[in-house]
Amino acid sequence: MQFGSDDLAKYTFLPQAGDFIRSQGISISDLASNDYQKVVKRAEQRVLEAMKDAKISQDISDREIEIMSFPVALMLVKSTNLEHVMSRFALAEAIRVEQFLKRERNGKIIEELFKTSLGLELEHNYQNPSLPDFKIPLEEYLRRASEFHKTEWKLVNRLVGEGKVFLIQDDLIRLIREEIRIMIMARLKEIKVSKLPENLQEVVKEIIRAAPPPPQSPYTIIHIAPENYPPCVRKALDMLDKGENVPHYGRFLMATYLLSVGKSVDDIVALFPKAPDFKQNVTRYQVEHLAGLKGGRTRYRVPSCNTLQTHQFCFMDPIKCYQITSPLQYPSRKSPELAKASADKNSKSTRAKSSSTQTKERSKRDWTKTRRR
Amino acid sequence: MDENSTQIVRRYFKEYYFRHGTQIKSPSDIGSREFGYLPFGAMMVRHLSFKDIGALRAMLVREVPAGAYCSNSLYVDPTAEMHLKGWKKAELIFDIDADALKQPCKKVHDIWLCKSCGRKEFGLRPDICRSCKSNRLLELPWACPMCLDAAKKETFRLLDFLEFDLGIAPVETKVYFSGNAGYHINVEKSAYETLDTHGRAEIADYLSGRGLTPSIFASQRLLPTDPGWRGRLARYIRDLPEDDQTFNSGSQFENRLSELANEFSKKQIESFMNRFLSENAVRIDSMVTTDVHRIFRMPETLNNKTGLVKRECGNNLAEFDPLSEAVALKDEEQKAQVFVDMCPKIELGGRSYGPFKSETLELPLYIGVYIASKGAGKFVSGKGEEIAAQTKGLGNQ
Repeated sequence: MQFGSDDLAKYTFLPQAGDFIRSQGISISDLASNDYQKVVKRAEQRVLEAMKDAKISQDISDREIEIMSFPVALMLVKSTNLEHVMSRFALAEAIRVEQFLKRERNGKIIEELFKTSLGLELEHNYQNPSLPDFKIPLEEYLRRASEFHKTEWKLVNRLVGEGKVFLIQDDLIRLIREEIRIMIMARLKEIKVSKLPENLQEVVKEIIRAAPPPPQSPYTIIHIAPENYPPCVRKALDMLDKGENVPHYGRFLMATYLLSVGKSVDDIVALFPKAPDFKQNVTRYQVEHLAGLKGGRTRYRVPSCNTLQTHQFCFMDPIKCYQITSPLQYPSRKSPELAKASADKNSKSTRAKSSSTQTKERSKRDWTKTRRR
Repeated sequence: MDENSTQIVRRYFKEYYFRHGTQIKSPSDIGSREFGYLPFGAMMVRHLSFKDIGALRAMLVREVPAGAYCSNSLYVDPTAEMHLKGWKKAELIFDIDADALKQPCKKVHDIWLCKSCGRKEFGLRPDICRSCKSNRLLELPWACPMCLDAAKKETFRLLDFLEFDLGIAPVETKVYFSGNAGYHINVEKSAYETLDTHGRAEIADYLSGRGLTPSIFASQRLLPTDPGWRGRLARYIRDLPEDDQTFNSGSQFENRLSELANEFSKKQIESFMNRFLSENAVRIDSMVTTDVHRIFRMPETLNNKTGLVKRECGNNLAEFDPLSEAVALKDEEQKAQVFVDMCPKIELGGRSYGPFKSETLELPLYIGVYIASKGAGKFVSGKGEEIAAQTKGLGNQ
């Protein structure tokens, strides 16, 4: 199907929007000319809004400018060479798309957009007005919805028939927001930007000035030595440190892990302010929920290594993660290399071992035992 | 099981694999599957691979295991340690266990045993032993034709969900009698093969109605033609008999819905929901469905808990009689002396035996194997070799 310029202005990430720009035959050097000043201005606005407010305005009255400013914004963001700027921009663009999609009245557009951009076969339910408007394959629903913990997302509370799940538009769009973010992020990683004209270089500098700085170090507020944290937890902390958007499972892992090693809810909430979508009260509620203080009063367990692998949040260290099944077992006690290293160390230091080192090692072991209980 | 009985049961198994091993079919993509077997009196052997079904059949005749298992998952390297196997996908599997259905006949045929004083009695396990007041009580469940019928009904209920809710073509679904007390259902091809354990857990919860919120009951938009649980609920409300005590508003569907939405208290809705679920949800063992690293008993192999075959039920599940069609070697002439400690009435191979208590009897060998495998008796010492000699053409191993 053909997208109109109205659609391309809303969904600027569509490949068809790229075709439109190509048809105009513009080169990067053209962006220095006065003819494209409005485009550059809007691109700058998109990025600055994302940096300052974590969302992007939705005025599409000048469609051509809206369409053309998106790739220019991508170039500007890419040129900052800062991961947390890219991440913040991708999330804000995803939220912009999400808002347009939730208001989209043309079912065919949604169907086509899902198919071409997400590879997801969506069906519009035209036959039965008493049922929700869309259906998606059940397995595709499960792959996405198992990330959500609210009971309304459980399959049992959904309308299911012949291997399809019926969804109202809002739920359908909520289900794929993360994918749009990932798609825009992937686009950012993929593009290569040659030297920008001077006026754009100035804009890039302005963006860097406006971007929230990455926090100094998240580890300073942690009482247990961070080197004892498994690589997956460290990765999540590191991403937060850089102001990147940590995927759902990363946040879930980090919070449950820190809770289980004795961190307080306050300690954990204090790690989040740099997250692009940070809202103090929401984060607090979520962490309290995981701690079993809110909602179903179940204290959530740290996800297993298997689960983390399933959710692509495993950053295995082949030696220290050897044969462990949970991040709580890190560092591995089964690893032959670690056992050997520890035996060598013990035999060398038997005579000269200071009492402080002994205490330190004992406390490390005791801690491991406590965690496992 | 005592040594003599183990020897006889093992020989019975060997004869079955020798004579009927060719019935064991190759699972699809055999080279990508993990196999395992449980030797008599030893620990499970896992992480095996067979390049073809011939090699597997040869192993069965050579090793004569008490149980033979195959993964429903496919791996890059099935012989590697679990985390290095490289999981590719897994068939969707379900286990329906008659014991979990808690049929009323359980109190007639189940046995409990006190591990402290040795008291053994028919009936449901009490909280404490009636003699010594110990709470170390063991349950020995049996499955009678009634229990197995209930499991079959549950299987039909599952098949309905699989076809109409999950959209799985019936031709892809195979049903097996487990060889003991229930049914195994295996979906050979579906869109769900690459689902992880969380996705499978959602399917298991869906089938068992776990997590269903009562808000569904307060909806006046329910229609019998609706898909999924909503349609099931609407049809259930519509089809309850006119004199059902739940509703005061008569048999009209719309009136009942309105009464449910407007007049039922929270407590009444909850109790109605429990009733609805107990009559409509499928009671499956969700551990089996969600575990993608499991090895599952192979079809046409013997179940060590009974000596019966895990048998495919074919196209006519309604007519399938597990207790006669799953007997491995039905030879009424081949007899054995069996001391039966305690066992309820057994219906096997189209005939019934017992109940027995502390008596020595001459019974067909397959009945003896069943009793010994259930742990309800043993072959009388000295007869093992004799029975061994009766089996044709086999070595004395």
